[in-house]
Amino acid sequence: MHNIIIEKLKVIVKQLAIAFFFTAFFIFLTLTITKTKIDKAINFINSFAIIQNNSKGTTKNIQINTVTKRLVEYPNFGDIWARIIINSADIESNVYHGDTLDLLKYGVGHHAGSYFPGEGGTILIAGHNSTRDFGRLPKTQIGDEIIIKAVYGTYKYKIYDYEIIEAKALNEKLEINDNKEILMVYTCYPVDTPGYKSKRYVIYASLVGDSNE
Amino acid sequence: MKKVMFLLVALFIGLVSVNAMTESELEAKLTKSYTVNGSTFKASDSQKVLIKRYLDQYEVSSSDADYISGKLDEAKNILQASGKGSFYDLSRADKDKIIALCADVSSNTSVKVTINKGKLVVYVPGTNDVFYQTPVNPVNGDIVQTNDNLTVAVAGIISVLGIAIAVRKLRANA
Amino acid sequence: MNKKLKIIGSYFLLFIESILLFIITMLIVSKFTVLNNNYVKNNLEKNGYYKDLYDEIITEMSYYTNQSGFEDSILENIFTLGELKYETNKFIENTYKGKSLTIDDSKMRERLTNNINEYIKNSGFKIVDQKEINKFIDTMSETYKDEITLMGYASKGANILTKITSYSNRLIIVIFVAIIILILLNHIVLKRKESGIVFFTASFIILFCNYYFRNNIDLNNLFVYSNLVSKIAKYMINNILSISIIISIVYIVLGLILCIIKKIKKSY
Repeated sequence: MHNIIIEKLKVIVKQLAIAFFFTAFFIFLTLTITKTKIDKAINFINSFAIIQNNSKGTTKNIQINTVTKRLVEYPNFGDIWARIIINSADIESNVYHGDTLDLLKYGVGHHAGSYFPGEGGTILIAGHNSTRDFGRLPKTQIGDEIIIKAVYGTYKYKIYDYEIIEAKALNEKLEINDNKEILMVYTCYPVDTPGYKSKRYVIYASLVGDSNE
Repeated sequence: MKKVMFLLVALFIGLVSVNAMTESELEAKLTKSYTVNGSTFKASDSQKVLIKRYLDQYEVSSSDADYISGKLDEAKNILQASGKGSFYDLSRADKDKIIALCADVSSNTSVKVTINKGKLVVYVPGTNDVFYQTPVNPVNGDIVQTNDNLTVAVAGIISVLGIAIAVRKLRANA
Repeated sequence: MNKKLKIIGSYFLLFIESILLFIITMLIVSKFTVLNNNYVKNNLEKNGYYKDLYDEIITEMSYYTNQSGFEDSILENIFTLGELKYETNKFIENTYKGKSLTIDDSKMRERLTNNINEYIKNSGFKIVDQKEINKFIDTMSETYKDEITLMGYASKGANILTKITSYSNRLIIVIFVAIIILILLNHIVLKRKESGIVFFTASFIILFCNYYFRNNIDLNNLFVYSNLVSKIAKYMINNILSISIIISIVYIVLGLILCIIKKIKKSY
């Protein structure tokens, strides 16, 4: 009985050893022949291995370089970085960096492809026409003040024009330039009818003063 | 010998100075348009702001620059081969090829992008923070972010990123 | 010399058998998991996908309600969980068959229209542009369909899926026949019976693949299309990896049994 067990064990060990060798040989062959393809496939899969961080609070210590007229660090997409105040229309809302619909649900959105206050370029801010945000935007008049209280300073603008444009013409009409600091604020129009709006109410304001905190 | 060396060095510096790009030349290259199949393609104003902001903040290596530049050429070749003058007119297969360039850039360079429910998302390198995400509608005035818009956004971003980074690499070597 | 050649030939055949066993195992596992729409549906059920999808659709729709001057209350009861599950399952079945499908949104549109009319009546809007209302309803319908069909991305995989299924079925048959032939060659012609090696090798390869995959793919952070789909994808991948480990253990046990049986016969 003792010998039988030893014989069995020898067979098992022998076959396991051969199997191990076969496995190593197979792996060696496969990795040698297809390593670049495997690495490419792994890189490709890992390129999707990113979790989104949808933070909605201010995070960074953002400052502006008044010489270069650029922010030293920019807020993360989805962060609150300012409050917009239009006293004449009783408007006050948080401003998010980004203008995707999921951000506009919580406040007004700053178009990420536009400049920030103090950078000397076009600033584009959009919001829903709800009473919480820009529902009273059409009540503003030329000469009214808009204040943007950014985390790095306060900027004042004066409205000099407004217009109603087709939504599809937004890209052409609202040009982003870097030669003058213009604030463009818009919302869906008309504000007091329900349904999907094909027009936008846009106000244009120019910079009149700033103070860096 | 010393004199020759000095002259060679001076010549080299002279050549480098002549080839070094000025800020305005760099700006001109970034805003360059391409003409393919009779149509002109260039980055939108917003895209230019985003590209400049991205490049000012984050370092991109020469090899990444080369890679992305290569993808730009591929995007142009796909468009050229299709005979179409607009990304919107491309076949589904060609649009998918251009979208695939996005994943390619992401998996092979430090520029990380992903496609989340049809929206293009560009990440801050080395983090999970979002640098930019294509908006669903407000600025474009479109109801839903369709694959067509995404293709244009992707092509736009890749094309301009490709140009910008290739040029930046040139400047770094000058 | 003849004996040596037989041994080398036998080991060569055993090596091929092992690889074929590994491949056929993976094909069969795929056939009963990712290539099987019932497996997918069961996993959706287990992970609460339908309820999550319901919430996701309402959330996506709510982004448009704010934009359009409505409140989220107009989205109440515009579709049921049962209806959503039915449409989703129908979509999955058709995808696996390589067929396209039109999602039935008629009930959803009807209920939404009623809710909107009720809301307008109670809210006292003075001006109502029916075109704008219709556009809003169309948007909601597109959102509903897009969320179920994953914006058409899933259909792209449909053709590939059906091709892979048909190739894998044929391949399983071919490999099965090849394995039988190799076993017969080894046992009858070469008179070598070390089949335990085949099971051990296949098991080790499966374990290595498991290890390599887990160590090189950032599974925990895997993101495919959306958070919802990623959750299911991660669950299914982990499930398949677990199944493969169980199979490799079974193969080791089978290998041991074959070793023991072989020796028992010789000792009589």
